[in-house]
Parts: sequence; structure tokens; C-alpha cells
Amino acid sequence: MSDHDRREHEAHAGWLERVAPYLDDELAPDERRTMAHHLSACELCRRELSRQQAVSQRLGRLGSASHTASPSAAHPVAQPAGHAASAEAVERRLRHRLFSPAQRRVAPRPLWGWMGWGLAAVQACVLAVVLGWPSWQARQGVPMVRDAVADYRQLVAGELPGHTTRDTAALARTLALPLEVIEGPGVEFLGAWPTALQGQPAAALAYRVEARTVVQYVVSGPLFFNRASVRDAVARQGRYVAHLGDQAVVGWPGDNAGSLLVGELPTDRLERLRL
Amino acid sequence: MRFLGHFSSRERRYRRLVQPHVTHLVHIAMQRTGEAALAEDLVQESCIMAWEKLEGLRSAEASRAWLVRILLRQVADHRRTRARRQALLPITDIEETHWQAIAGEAPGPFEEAVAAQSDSRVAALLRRLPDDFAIVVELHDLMGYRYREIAETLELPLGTVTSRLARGRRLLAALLVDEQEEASERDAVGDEGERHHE
Repeated sequence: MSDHDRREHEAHAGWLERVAPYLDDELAPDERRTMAHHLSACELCRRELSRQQAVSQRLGRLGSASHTASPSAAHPVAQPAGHAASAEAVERRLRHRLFSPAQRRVAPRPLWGWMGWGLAAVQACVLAVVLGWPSWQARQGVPMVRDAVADYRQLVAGELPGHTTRDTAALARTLALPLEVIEGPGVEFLGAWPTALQGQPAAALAYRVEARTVVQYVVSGPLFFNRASVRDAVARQGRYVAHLGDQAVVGWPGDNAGSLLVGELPTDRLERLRL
Repeated sequence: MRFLGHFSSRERRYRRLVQPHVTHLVHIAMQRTGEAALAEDLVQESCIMAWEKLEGLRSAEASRAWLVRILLRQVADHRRTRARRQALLPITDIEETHWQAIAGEAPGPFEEAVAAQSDSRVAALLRRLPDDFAIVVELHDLMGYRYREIAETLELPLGTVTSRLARGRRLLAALLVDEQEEASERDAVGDEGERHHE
């Protein structure tokens, strides 16, 4: 290319860039008019247009040689009829690979997805423990109360122990527990004896109420207040009330000790006894 | 359990967003590779990749462009890893020759030379163009995309699409003329040889 040609080409660089969009009808109307006006006077741009048009038309013929209209109205792009068989073969293999239940490909879950599920599982476990532990404990009952009721059931199934005493003051000294006998109308004190709840010394005081045996278990303060459910009940209502089968239990705190009254009577009747 | 006529949500999305474009993908792949079996494999892998990434596709309008991008990445990966690399073209020299030609030629011979080329030769020469130019030319001149659609599909600025289309056509024009000249020379040499034999 001579210097003159090069200068002419560089001067036309902007126009030459607009030749293809002009040919393809991609210019705005006013740009198109300006370009048409330029083309009428510029031999170089006309030749470029002629070449672009020749190549474009040749490719268009190549594209339409075996083309049919696209089935998609939204995308009126011509599709070669000869390619339909290939497309069908691909779709057949894809149906087999993707939609067949036995060979269905499941998208691989990204690592963060697995981590997310892992974290959620850990959180669920923690939540279950935090929320479920108190209710599980509540269902299991207070160990001290369970021991008292079990002892009571053995007692009513048989006879009172042979070593009962009516000298509660001596028993209180022996066990270092404050013992106060319940007195009232219809309440007959039968006797007292040393026993053990949760492996700790306790005193059992038996009464006859309405032809039924009621036993008062007196335990140390630390044992009585060992469980949160007992502490909460005493703090809120001044007493602890529970039912285990046929037996009702009413507990209340004493002087560095606590009493559990166990019997087969309604709890309100048991509560009235201690007043 | 799968009932008659019941498809999973992913399957429904696939049938709506991917399946209608499989033929179009095959068309592009055939044009890019020139081999039916290879084109089918690349389209199949593209559709499987689309199946796995279907959650990433938000709108039906964007599905065709999204699928074409996946396919073109597959084609590029295939070319990079398994197929021979394209022979490098001296683009600057070819363009220089083009400018010289249009500065001096009279209209007529070029257009005749281009029209005389067979379809298979034009398709083969198109595959010799660098991918960046060839895909723009193919989408526009063979498949009827508008500039804006090409820009959206390939995620390119409109100016880049305009420039690549014009340059791609110029490169192809130069290759077509070269091929025609070489074929003429071969014919001339053949005639000469035949006369010598006589």
C-alpha cells in the first residue's frame, strides 16, 4: 500500500467501520442517511461495501442451502434440516442419561451446600438437647421423689418396719434432721424410723389418715433442693406437688431440711395435712 | 415415585428452557467443528452441563444465549485439550492485502471469485478463521442473529461485535481469493503438464 493509499485508508477508517453495519441495516436512520450520502461519493467505501456484501451473500447461501424455517417463532433463526437428525440423536441419548430414573444424573451438591446441611444438623441436635432435656428430665421425675414413692409402695404392700419409734426427738438427734410430727383432726401418728433416700439419711414418719397410710419423709436441705424443678416449684408456689401413679406427693421446705408427704390421697388433702 | 405424565421440577425446566434449542446448538456445533459425531458429543455435554446448572438460569428469554455460551466453551475446551490447534493466520498481512485490493481493483472479479467457491470450501475456510471472528460471522451471516443478539449471547460490547464481523468477513474474503488463485494456478500447472505429455 502506497503512502497515499495508507493516508486515504486512515482518513476513511471511521467510514469503513460503518460499512458493515450499513450493509446489515444496523445503523440509526440519520446515520444511515449520512453513510449513504458518503458512499455516493466514495469509491473506496463502495468497494469495501461490495466485498462485505459478496461475502455476506455467499455465507447466506451457505446457510440457506439446507435450511428450513425454525420451529420457534420467537427466534426466527434458520435451522438446517440436515442437522435435525443429529439433534434428534442427541435428544434421544440425553433422555436416556437425564430422565431415565436408573441413570438420572443428580447435580453435584457444592461443598458449601453439604457444609450448610452439616451445620443445620448440628444446630438441630443442640436445639433438641437444649429443649428436650428439661422435659425428658421432668418425665423421668425427681430421683428423691421416685425413691420416696418406691419406699412408700413397699411399705403399704407390707407392714410397718419393726423398729419404729415415737421418740422423734431422739431420732431427730440421731439423723441431725429437724422432725416435726404432723398433728390434726383425723391424723394418727403411727411411728417414725430412719431410712435412706438417694443414699442419704432420711426419717420416715407414718400416719393414718382416712384409713390410709401416709408417710412423711424428711430429708436434708441439700437433697431436697437438689433438683431445679423442686427449687422452681417451691420458689413459685411454696410447695412441690407431683403424681406418680396412684400416689400423690407434696413437698415443702423446712429448717435446713425438706419434707415429702406421700400418700394415696388427693394432693389438696395432703396439703391441708401439713397446715 | 413417578406417575404417568409427571415430571420433576428440574425435568420440566429442562424441557422448557433447554430442549427447544438443541437443534440450534447442533447447527452451531456442526459449523464450528465440521464433524457430525463430534458436534453431537459437544452438544450432549453442553446439555448435561446445562442440566446440572439449571438453577443458575433465571429467565427463559436468556436460555438460548446461555446455552450457546456453554456450547462455545465446550468447543474451545475441546480444541484446547484434544483437537489440533488452529493454524495461526497472519491477520495483519491479510488485512493489508485486502486494503490494497479494494484500493486498486475494479468491481467484478472478486464477487465472481467468491460466488464460484463451493459450499464445502467456504465452510472449511470459515473454520480457519480465528474463533473470535468466526463465531460472530457465523451467528450473523449463517444463522441470522442481529448485532444486539450476538452482543448478548457472547457478552461482548456492540462495537466489538461490529468490528469482529467486518474483520471476519475481510479475512474470509482474502482466504477465498487466495484459494481461488491457488486453484487457478493448480489448473494451469495441470494443463501445462498435460501439454508436455502430449
